[in-house]
Amino acid sequence: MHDTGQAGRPKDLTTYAAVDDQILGAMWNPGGFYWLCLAITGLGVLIGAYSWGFQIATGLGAANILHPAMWGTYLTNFVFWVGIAHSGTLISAILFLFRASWRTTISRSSEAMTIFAVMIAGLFPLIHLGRVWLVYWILPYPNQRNLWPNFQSPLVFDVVAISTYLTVSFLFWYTGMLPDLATIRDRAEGLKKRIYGFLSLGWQGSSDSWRHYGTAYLLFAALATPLVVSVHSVVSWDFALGIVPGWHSTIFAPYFVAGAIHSGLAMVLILLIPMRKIFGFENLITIEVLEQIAKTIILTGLIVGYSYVVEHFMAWYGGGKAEQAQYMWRMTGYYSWCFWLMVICNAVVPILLFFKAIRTNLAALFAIGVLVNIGMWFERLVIIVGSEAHEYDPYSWGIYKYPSLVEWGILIGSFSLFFFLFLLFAKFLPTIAITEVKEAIPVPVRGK
Amino acid sequence: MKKKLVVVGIFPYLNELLSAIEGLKKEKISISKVYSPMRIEEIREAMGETPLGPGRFFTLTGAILGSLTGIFLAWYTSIQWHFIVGGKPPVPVIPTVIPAFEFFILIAVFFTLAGLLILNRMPRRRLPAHYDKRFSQDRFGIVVHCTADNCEPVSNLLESLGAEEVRRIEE
Repeated sequence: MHDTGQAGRPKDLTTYAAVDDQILGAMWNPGGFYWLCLAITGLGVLIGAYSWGFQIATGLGAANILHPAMWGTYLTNFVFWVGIAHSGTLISAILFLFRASWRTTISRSSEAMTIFAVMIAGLFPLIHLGRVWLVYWILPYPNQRNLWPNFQSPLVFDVVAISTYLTVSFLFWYTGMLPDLATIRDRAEGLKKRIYGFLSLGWQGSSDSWRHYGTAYLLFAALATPLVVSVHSVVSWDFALGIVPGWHSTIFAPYFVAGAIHSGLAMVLILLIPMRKIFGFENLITIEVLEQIAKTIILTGLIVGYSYVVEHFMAWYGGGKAEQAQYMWRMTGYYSWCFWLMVICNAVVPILLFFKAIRTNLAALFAIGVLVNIGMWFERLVIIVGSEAHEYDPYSWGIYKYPSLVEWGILIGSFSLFFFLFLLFAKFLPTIAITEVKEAIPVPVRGK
Repeated sequence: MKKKLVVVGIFPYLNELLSAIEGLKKEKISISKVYSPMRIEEIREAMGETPLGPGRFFTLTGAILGSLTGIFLAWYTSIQWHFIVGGKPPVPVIPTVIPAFEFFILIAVFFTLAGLLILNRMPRRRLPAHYDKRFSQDRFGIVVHCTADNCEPVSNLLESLGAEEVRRIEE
């Protein structure tokens, strides 16, 4: 139970009180740089909100999306953010079931990242809807015309899957946090004590409570694991169940899941490397932990690279003219620079992580994290926009040239909102699971 | 309501807590609760509790109900749509798998959470009087309900077994 391996073992922490002091101390006093980041991201959120408001007021014409590439960057962003959400549950649930010790200090932040990313992903279908106030039409509720959502449609699958994922991720995250909220409650005074007391739901930490908690946490992990695989599979079927060349492929589900985890892990690096510096968590989120993430990125990068090759091979080997034309156009046509950027960032750059010197270099890890995320964003663009732009009939071919100012504003807003929410989380909730860190250090025993 | 007498022993070290549990058991004194700042298998074993609680049956119930809900929703809404398209039957089987699977997970998670809350009697507004805030930080605790006659011996026993502090409380 207490042997959690070297990678997950915090350094320079020997007592439970020291664990509380370090994690909660960072929460109470995050420092000036934190507030600067919060202000910048807050400004970005305002830019995004203004852009969306402008689009609602003027109509979808404010965006540059036109036939045939009707989904533009909005759906690119949607799939990108759903992908980002995936590594959180991978780290918190799948690695928990595999007893991977290095997840201990990063699971909480990754779960928070998941929730914020799904929330932001969920905004994009609404943004793309134009008349956002009619979104309730997709919900299964009785109405006088007996019109129900079509449960045979992958788009309805998607609504069910994403909302389930958001709900389950939130509950998993919150349940995991109950003992830590009680720790804060027991150290706080006044209004803070009341707020954290309310949030901790009266958690006590008796042996019986821990047993029920352990059972629930294990079952949460067991349920979240197939869910994480299913959600991005369902997202991939938004495309794969269509007949558009470039979409209609049987490898989309595993390809999308691997890509999602690839981008999510890269985002974990982007968040954790500055966070450990700002909050002084270098002894908790150790280089060894970041190295484990890097090793997983090598695996997902290889899967993604293999998928790129297989996609093109199948198009050639399958013999379908439209499919062959699509993949040739992808490599040489209007979006070819996006395609090659995606190949380099997602499949070539992660190979550098085979070198230990790079895997253990913080600046290199951060840069690779950024590059992988750029690559994954362009992968979504290439698949979604590129395939729509070059379908069967040359008469209907068309180009989505560039995002409008409104689309840029919304893109900036979405990234800003993500980091803004994460910064708020880091200020008000424990970013590292206190009880799990306590489990990872030696138990206090007299005479030892 | 008549108040109960409680003795709380606070321990800084796990090995002493475990020997205190053994000592109390040897004296046939019933332990009401053992507190710890995190999950510790040795405490669970010393208390003779099984690794998994009854919460799993809540999950199973939720999983079954969730699957049925997903299947019912997909089939019911299909039946409401009276147009036969392309000669296909109105009630599809294969696409039903997705809502059935998603609802299976969703409702199972709701029931798991409900199980956790019910079994732990949460949410609760007030903590018991014997609760010490150090239990969530760096101390272990043993709670024994006692009568006026045996409070003193229980307190002495806890002290002799390594408790750094023993308190008697009415609650």
